[in-house]
Amino acid sequence: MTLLQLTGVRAAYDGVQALHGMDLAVTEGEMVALLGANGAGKTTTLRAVSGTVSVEGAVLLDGQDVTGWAAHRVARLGVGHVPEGRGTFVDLTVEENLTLGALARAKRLRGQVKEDLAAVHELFPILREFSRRQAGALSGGQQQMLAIARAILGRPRLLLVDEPSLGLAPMVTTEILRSLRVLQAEWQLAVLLAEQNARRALAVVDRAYVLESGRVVASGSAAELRENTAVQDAYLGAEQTGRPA
Amino acid sequence: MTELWQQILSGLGTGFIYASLALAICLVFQGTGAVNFAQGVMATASAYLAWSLVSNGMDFWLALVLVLAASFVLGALIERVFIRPVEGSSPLVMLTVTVALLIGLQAVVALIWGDDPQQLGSPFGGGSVEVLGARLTAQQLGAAAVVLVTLLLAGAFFRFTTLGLRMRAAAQNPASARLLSIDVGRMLALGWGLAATVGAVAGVIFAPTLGVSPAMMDSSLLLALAAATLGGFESRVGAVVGGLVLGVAANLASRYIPGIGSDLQLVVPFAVIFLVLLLRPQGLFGRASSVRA
Repeated sequence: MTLLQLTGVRAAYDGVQALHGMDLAVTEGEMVALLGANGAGKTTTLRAVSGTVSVEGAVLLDGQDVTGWAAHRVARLGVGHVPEGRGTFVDLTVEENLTLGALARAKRLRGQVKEDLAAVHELFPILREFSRRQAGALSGGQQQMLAIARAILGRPRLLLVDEPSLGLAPMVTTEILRSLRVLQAEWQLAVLLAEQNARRALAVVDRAYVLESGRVVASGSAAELRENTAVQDAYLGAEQTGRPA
Repeated sequence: MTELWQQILSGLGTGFIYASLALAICLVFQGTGAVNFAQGVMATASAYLAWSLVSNGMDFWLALVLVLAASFVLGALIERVFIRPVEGSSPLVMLTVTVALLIGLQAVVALIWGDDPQQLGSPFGGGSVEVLGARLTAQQLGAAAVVLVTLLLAGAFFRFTTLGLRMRAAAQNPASARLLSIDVGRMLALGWGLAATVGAVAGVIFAPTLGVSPAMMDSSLLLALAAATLGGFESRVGAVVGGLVLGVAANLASRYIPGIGSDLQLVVPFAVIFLVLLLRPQGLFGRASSVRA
C-alpha cells in the first residue's frame, strides 16, 4: 500500500524555486532515502510532506490529499518530522520533550506510552540518565537523539528524518539508523530519510531517490544504486564526510 | 520598627496587583512576543463588568466567576481579531497594535460606563486583622490571598498539566510544536485568554481599594511593566517576584524618601526599569540568550 505519494510537487522560498516537480512514493513500512548534495531539495521535500513549506502539485498521504494543510493537521495523520537543526525545546527538560512527543500520538496508542518510552530509553540510554536536564544543556549529538526519540514516541506511520548524521560521530549515526530499522519492523514505521552521506544511507535503506536541483535524477533499490556507475561517480566516488558539525 | 513592618506588609499587598499584571504581560510576551500595553485596561474592563453585576444585586463571588469567564473569552478574542493578523511581525508593529488596543479599549470602557469613578464594596467586610504586630484590613489580606491562590494555580497549570506543557512548547518553539501536532494558533489564543483572566482577578479583587474608573489600572500597569523588566519577561516566577518587590519598594519610597510621596511613587518603577536595562537587561530571572532583539 502506498503511504506517501508526491506528484509534480513544486516549492519556492522567497521566489527562488527549490523543487521543480518532485515525483516520489513511499510504501507502508518502507525505509527510503533522499540522496543528493546541499541544495538539491532534500530538506524542502521533507518540508513539503509535513506542511511546513507551501507547495503546488499534490501530496497524498494514505490516499488523502493533504496539499496545503497546516502542519499540525498533517502531524495528526501520523507524520513525524525530525527537522533540520533538530528543533528540540531547549528550555524544557528532556523528559518534557519526550512527553510532548508522546502527546502527539493517536488516541488508540495512548495506553502504550510507558512501554514505548522504555523501548526508546533502551535505544538511547543517555536520555534516561539526563531526563531532568534542560534539553539545551545536551550536546549536539544527544539533542539529535532526543529529536529522533521525541518524533518516534509520537508513533508516526511516516517518519521524516533530516540529516541525522549532522553533529554525530559516524558510529553513532549508523547505530541510530540501525535502531530506526528495528522500530520500523516493530512499529510498522515508514521512514523517509534525507542524507548527504549516500554510502552510509544506502547501507540501511530499502530504496533511494537521488535528487539534483529540485528534481529526481535517479531512483532504485539500495543495491541497484550502489551498482549504478553514474550514481557512484557523483555521490559515492569519494568518501563523503558531510558538513563539519 | 512596627511602622516599617506595617509599610512592608501593605506594600506586599499592593505588590500582588503588580505581580498578577506582570504575570499576564509575561504570558502574552512568551507566546506572541508582544508587550501588551492593554493588559491593564483589560483588567479595568473586567472590574467595570463586576461592578455592573454587583450593583445590579449579584453576589460578589458569583460575579467574579462570571467576569473571569468573560475576560478569558475577551482575551482570546482580542488575540484572534487583533493580534493574529500581525503575528510574527516586528516588535514595533506589535507595540503599535497593543498601544492602539490600550487607547481603543479605554475609550470603549468610558463609552459604556462613563468617566465617573464608581465604588465596589469589599467582599471581605470592613474589619481589620493584626498580623505579627501590623494592622491590615480584611480587604488587604483577602485580596492578597485570592491573588496568591490564582498565581499558584497558574503556576501549577503550566508545571503539571499537559495543556500547560503544550502551551510552553508552542511559546518556545512554534515550528517544532506544529510538527508535534500542536495547534499553535489555539495555544496563543489560550495564552491571551489566560493572561486576561489573571489580570481580571487582580482588577476585580482590588477594585474596592483602587476605585473603579477608566484609569484605575494606569499606574499599576507601569509598575507591572517594571516588575516584568526586573524579573525578566521570559520568566513567570520572575514577573511575580518582581511585582512583589516593586510593591514593597514603591511603598517604602513614598513613606521614607523625602519628597517622593504617593504622587511621585511612579519614579520607582522608572528607576527600576532604567537600572535593570542598564545593568542586567535580561532581568533577574532571565537568561541572556533569551533576550529578544
